[in-house]
Amino acid sequence: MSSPIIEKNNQDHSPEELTGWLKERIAEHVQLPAAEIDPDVPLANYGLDSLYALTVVTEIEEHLGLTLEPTVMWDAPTLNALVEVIRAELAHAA
Amino acid sequence: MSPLDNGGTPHVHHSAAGALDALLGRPGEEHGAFRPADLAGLDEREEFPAAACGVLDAFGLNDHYVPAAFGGELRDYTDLMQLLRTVARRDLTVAVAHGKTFLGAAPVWVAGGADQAAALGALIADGAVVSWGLTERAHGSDLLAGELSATPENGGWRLNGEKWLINNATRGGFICVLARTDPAGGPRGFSLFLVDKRGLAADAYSCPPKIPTHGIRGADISGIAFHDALIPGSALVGEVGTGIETVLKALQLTRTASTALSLGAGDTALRLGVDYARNRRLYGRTLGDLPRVRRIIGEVYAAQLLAEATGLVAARSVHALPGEMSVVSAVAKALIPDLAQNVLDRVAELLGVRSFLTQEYADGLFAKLERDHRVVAIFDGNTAVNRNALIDQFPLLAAAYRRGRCDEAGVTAATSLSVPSTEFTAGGLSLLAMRGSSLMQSLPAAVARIAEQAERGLLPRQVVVLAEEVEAAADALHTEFAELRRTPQDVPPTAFVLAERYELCFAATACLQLWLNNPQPAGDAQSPTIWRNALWLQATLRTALTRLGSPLEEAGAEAYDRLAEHAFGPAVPTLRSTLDGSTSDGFTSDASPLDGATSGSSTPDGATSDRATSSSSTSDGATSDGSIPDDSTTDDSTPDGETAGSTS
Ligand SMILES: Cc1cc2nc3c(=O)[nH]c(=O)nc-3n(C[C@H](O)[C@H](O)[C@H](O)COP(=O)(O)OP(=O)(O)OC[C@H]3O[C@@H](n4cnc5c(N)ncnc54)[C@H](O)[C@@H]3O)c2cc1C
Repeated sequence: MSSPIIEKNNQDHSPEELTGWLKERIAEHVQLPAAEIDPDVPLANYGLDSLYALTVVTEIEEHLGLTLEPTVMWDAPTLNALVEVIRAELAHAA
Repeated sequence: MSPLDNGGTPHVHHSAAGALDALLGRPGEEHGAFRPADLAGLDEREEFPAAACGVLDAFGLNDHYVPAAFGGELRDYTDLMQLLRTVARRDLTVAVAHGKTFLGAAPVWVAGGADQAAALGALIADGAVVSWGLTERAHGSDLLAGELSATPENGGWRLNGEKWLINNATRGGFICVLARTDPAGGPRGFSLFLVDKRGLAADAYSCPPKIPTHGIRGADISGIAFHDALIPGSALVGEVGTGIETVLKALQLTRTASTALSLGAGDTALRLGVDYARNRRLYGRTLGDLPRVRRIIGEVYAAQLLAEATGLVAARSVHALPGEMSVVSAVAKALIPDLAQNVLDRVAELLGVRSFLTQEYADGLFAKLERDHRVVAIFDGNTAVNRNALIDQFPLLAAAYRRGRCDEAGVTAATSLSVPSTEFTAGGLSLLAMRGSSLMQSLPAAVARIAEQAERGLLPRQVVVLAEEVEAAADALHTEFAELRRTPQDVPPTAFVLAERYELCFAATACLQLWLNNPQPAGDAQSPTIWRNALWLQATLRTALTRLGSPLEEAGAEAYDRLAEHAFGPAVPTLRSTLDGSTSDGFTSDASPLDGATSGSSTPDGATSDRATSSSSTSDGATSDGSIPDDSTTDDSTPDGETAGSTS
């Protein structure tokens, strides 16, 4: 379970901050303006292929110093669902 | 399970593969059901090789498809690989037809309930044939597009739709089917079912007629269509919605095991090439006396050793580094069939017209082999799909390499061939290698150790030069990974070239670690093994580097010529066979000799011993910098592996 803490980990991640950061990341992957990503629409609808989505998880891990299941985006397929899982994990890790 | 050889003499074999090899017989003395001419005849008539499969059943090969935890004999994936390789050397159709049961059952080993797995294990031990239905007519590699559906009904499920191009779909009693359980699909929209065809109503399914194929023509390649077929709830494998995840994990095991088909094909191609070079007389000498021909034999042999090294390390990684198999299995399944295909192509060139004759030369064995092998790069995930799986992980691989992350104990276990593997549990598999590839990331440390060995006079200096070149290639490659621009939809074609380079760097690292972590059986002055002066290591590193685009100078090619000398012995040594006797657990020769019962061998003895004598007096002792004392490569008590070499 020990994941090296890469970037930052000791600050509060407000839901807004997390959502904003994730939205930027995903927007970059699918090459859309961040504003076009609706947090309640499945990310697959924006062309985020499900196998590729696995690797986005590792970016989240690196950014937050968390260990997540590779399939987390399969089980939480929208931005909002994902943020919820991450916040629960962060709370758990704290 | 009777380990009797053809002459009926009981043998004690250290490994199941050795026992099977003895049972099936060496070239020219094959078991009655494995005579090449008969197998070629079946192929021509597109008839299933039932007798040969029957021999494998009687041997108990099925037991090796079932993990020990579920009542079988599968404890080490390297043993399974060596068993399938042993069959593949004789006939790829038989290996594909029989081995498929392991592939069909693998999802149950990965995700099935303990009772379900034990029940399937008992059925397989009893001879059940299990097939695996992923592909559909309209959908090849794209599993998420699958249309065959399963709808819940009264605690059971109704299946509708077709799987097509399915090995053993007609003759098999069981099939593991990937079905859409959520009409919307998606990665959680599929589930796996183990269907017992015996339990279906007669009109609930149909199999299309056998589909004619270019190679493995006798195999049962067909399909199965379900028409409102009712199956019990107990057929579900794992949870609803986990089908894709389970398939991707099972493929990590099956893709690794499938490389045995290429290893066996390469073994046989190399043997045929050597036999031909040894026996064909031109211009008053044998073909094998021509420098160019010896060079080709050496190059082909080196490619085969590189493939073997990769395969052995991949199979051991199942136990030692299960969480990294998403990388390891993709490397193995992309690279090994590619190397084997290259071996086949080079040998075809050498055999000339004889590679083209379907009956006249060696019963047409080569022509059949060449046709049969093509399927290996296509099924169970084709080369592009495996490279794509690597490409998806480039960001991870780049980050992990930069940080030098490495499970050192895992790397040691994956490359120490004489240490028994720890028990494999499917829980260790992961869809992503979150920590990258420890083997790849061990490269800098391995190169440092190689340099240190050279300092101590244990290795020729050229090996360090080669190892450093591999490291430079890997460094550059991982930088390119980080720079690659892609979107989820569009993978640039160059990424596939990078994946191929990754495979080669991985394979070269596997060779370095195998060298570092195994006792070096140097043989004796009369018959040094390919380990002496790190000969096999030089030749495999050279092969990887050449494929990586590094120019080959004449001095560097000498390793191939010296390696070729070893190919002309009584048997072409493999890495496994040269380590024979270095352990008691079963890493023995993958092809035990028949205790001197060599008469009737297809190779004239005279040619063999002539060559063996001349090779021992001319090769290996000298390295180009002359710095290595004769006994510099420390010997251990390993008996001479070369004479105990394989029949291939
Ligand atoms: C003899 C035989 C036995 C078989 N047995 C079975 C079996 O038992 N069970 C079973 O389920 N299936 C079986 N198959 C089917 C086989 O596994 C599939 O055909 C194969 O996996 C890929 O499908 P495809 O060749 O139809 O190619 P497609 O997936 O349709 O691909 C077409 C082309 O696109 C390329 N491509 C595919 N994906 C990518 C990508 N991501 N990036 C770049 N290029 C890509 C491919 O290389 C190929 O050139 C068998 C096939 C044969 C020939």
